[in-house]
Amino acid sequence: MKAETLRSTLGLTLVMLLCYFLQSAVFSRLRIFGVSPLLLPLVAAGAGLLGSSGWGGAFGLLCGILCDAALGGGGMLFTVAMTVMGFFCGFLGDFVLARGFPSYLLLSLAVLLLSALLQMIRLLIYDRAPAWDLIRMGLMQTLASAIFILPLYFCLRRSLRCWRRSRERTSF
Amino acid sequence: MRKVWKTTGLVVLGALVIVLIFTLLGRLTGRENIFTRSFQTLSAPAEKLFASGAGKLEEVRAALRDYEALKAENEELKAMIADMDAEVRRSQGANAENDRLRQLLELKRSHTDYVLLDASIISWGSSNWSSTFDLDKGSFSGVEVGDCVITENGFVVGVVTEAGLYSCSVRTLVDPRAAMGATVHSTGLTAVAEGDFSLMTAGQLKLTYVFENSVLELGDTVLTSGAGGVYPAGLVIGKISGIGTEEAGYGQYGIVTPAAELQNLSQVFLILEYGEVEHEG
Repeated sequence: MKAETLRSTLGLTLVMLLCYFLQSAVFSRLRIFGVSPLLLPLVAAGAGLLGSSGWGGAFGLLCGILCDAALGGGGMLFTVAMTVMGFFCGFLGDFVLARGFPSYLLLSLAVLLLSALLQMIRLLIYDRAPAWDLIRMGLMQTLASAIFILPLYFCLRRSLRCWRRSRERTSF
Repeated sequence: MRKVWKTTGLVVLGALVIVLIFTLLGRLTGRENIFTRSFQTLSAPAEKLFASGAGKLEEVRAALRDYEALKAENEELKAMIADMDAEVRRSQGANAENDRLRQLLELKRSHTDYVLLDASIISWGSSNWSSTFDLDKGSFSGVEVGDCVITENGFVVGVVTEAGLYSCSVRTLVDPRAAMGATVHSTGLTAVAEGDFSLMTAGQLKLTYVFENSVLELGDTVLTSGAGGVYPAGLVIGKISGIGTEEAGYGQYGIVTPAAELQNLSQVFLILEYGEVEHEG
């Protein structure tokens, strides 16, 4: 493994672990607007968009495992969903979207809304929970999580800068 | 000039002689010396001032002399206070634990069939869509999926949904997926107490499937009925804090506020086994 790739991997791992601890230990008790924000999907989306589909898939899988652990209940929902989301964000970054903040903001909001949708589907279908209550919770969760988009963008961009530079050098 | 000196010298000498005579007479007769007394009276305020200043200076000197000793003593006292604080905290923790264990002993006395295991909460789930937490005991300690979790007072907390080797996950009674057979203590009315997503954020649950003609009363205590086999009968779920009418228009439903203060829990007890023994009290 190249030194640049190793540095970027370490940087991203550090950001991911920080987000995990914030999500599981801090925000499970210290809520924002009465809800706990979701941070790990933002890391998966960022790894995909600012890195590549490979980065997105790999870190999507790791973030998914950690997210399922943080949310409790022993589900596998995010392990699968975030791997796919991370990979897809990478695909969009590789071929469709520019690797800048507007794209990251757009993808982050999409990923957060999709995560909320996935979380509410089972409650809506099996538990007959009121749709409006679920939608309100989903929006609140997205809003509380969106606060972290900007700081995470800079952290992720900084982590992946070495790898991206070395890739640009080799491509020329 | 010489004359002037001579006159002055004579006056001074005369005055001295007079003073000496009066002083000598005072001594001989045992009376106070008028000159000394006058001087003392006149000089008393100044003396007091000087004495006070000297006292202050003495204090400062003493303070300077004792500074190091005081500093050392202060440090020692600070350490002692810190030790005492720690001791008080330990005592408070021990007292709280003692209270919990005493209540648990009462619970064990009234439910001799219970096999209980104490556990501490490691972390709360961060999901906004469910209410779960993890405990520090797992299958290694005999925990199994479906074990009931209660407080030291016998208030229902939840049920084990997943058991690892050294930890387990618990779904609380307010989680939207939680459901248990319930009975209203005052009327003996049977119903189902289940979690509701809309009530979960307020930390409450719903008492539903109540018979059509039955009437719920605010403040009634809701207990587990034992139906379903997960929760033993007679455990306290909570009190009815609200009453509504079902959407379909038939029958009532109750809003139950759990007796267990979920937000303040730190230690809970798992019922590993229970039998069909008649409960006392």
